[in-house]
Amino acid sequence: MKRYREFREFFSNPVFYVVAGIFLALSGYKFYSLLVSYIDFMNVYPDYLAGTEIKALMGINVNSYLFPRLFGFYSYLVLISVPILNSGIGHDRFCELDKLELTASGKTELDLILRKIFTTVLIMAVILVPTLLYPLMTSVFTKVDYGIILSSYAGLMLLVFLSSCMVSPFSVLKIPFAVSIFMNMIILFVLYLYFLGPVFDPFMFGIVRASGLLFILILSSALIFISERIYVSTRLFA
Amino acid sequence: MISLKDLAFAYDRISPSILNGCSADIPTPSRVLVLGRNGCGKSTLLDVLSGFKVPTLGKVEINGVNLYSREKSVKELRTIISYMPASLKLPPYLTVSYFLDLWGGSYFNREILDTLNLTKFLDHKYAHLSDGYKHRVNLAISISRGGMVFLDEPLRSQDDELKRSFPELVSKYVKNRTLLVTSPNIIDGVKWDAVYTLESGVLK
Repeated sequence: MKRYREFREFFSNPVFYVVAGIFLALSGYKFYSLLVSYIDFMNVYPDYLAGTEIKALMGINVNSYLFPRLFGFYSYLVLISVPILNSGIGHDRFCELDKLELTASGKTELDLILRKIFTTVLIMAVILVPTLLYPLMTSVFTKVDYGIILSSYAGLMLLVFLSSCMVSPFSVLKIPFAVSIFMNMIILFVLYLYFLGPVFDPFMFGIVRASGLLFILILSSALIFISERIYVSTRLFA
Repeated sequence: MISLKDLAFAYDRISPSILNGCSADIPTPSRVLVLGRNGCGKSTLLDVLSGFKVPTLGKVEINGVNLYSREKSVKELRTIISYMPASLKLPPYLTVSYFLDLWGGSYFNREILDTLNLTKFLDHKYAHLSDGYKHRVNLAISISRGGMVFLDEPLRSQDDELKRSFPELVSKYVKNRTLLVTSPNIIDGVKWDAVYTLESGVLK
C-alpha cells in the first residue's frame, strides 16, 4: 500500500473527506427516509387494505422495497463520485508528474491508467464500508437477505470499476480538472440511464447474470485499451 | 551514443517549428549543457529525447536504435532515463520523506539531502515548501534515479547556495552517467563535455 501513491494521496487530501462526507450524509438520509416510508407503508396501509392479501401478494419486505431503492440511490452517488476520484491522470499531466512516473521506473501508460482505476475502486470501497451499518441495523428488527446485500455491493463495485474505465479515456486528456469532472459526470449519467441501468439493476435484486459480467469484462477491457491509445497518441500535443 | 539527426518538431502544420533540424552526437557517458533563451525549445528537446513528444521530422538514435521506430523502444529508453521537467509539481499533501521513499532511486543517499539542505524539511508537506525547496526535492529525486539524467532548468528559482553546490552534486552523484542539462545561463563549476546553444530551433 506504501507504493500505492494515489491511495495515500487521497487520505491526505481534503477532497476525499468532502466526497466521503457528502456520500455518507446523503446515503444516511436516503436510508432514513426509505425506512420511514417503509414503516409507514407497513403500518398504515394494512388498515386501508384490511382483509385483503395485497401486501402478501406484493411480497413487500425490506429486501424487495428498502434495499433495492437504497442501492439504486448509491448508484447515482457513485456516478457523481467516480469522476471526482478518477480525474487524476489529466491533472498529473498538467503537473508533469507522469513524466517522473514514466521514467526510470519501467512503468507504462497502461500501468498508470490501471492504477487510477483500481485506486478509485479501492477508495469507493472504503467510502462504502460505513454503509454496511444500514443492513446490520435493519437485521436487528427484521430478517435481512444477505445474499441480496452481497450481490448489491458486488454490483455497486462493478459499477464503480466500469464507471472508472468509462471516464478514463477523457481523464487521460490534458484538459482542466473541473471540465473533465463535469463532462464525465454527464456522460456517466446519460450512459447509466439509457444503457448501463439494465446491466446493474438485477444485482440489486440478488440476480447475477453471466451475460452482465461478460458485458462488463468486454466493455472495460475495450475502454482500458482505448484510454491507453489516447494517452500514448496525445503525447504529441502534451 | 545519443544521435540527433535533423530533428524537427511542431505542434501542428500551422504552428511554427519549435525544433528545426537539430543534429548532434552525444557520447555516453558525458555531461552536456544546452543553453537557450526562454521559449527557444529546450524543454521540447528534452521531451523529444525522453519519448514524450514525437518529432515531426528527423530521428533520435540511442546506441544505434531509432527511438521512434517502434513504441517498445520508447518504453525501453524511459527505463534508463531520469527526467526532471522544469515545471514538475509533486502531490501537495504528501511529505518530502514519502516522495524520497517512493521515487528515490538506487543512487539515493542521505548526503544528497545534506548537499541540498533538505534534511530538516523531510517531514514537511510539499505544499508547505517554498518554490525553491520544491525544486530541490525534484532535483534530489531526479539525480538519484536512472542511468541518464535529463534536467530541465535545474537552477530555476534557486539561490546562490544551490548554484554553488550544484557542481559538487553532479560530480558526486552523477558520476559515470550521462547528464543532459538545459539552462538559460551558463552553469559554472561543472566540467561540461559539450555546451550547445539552441537558437531558432537549431543546436549550435
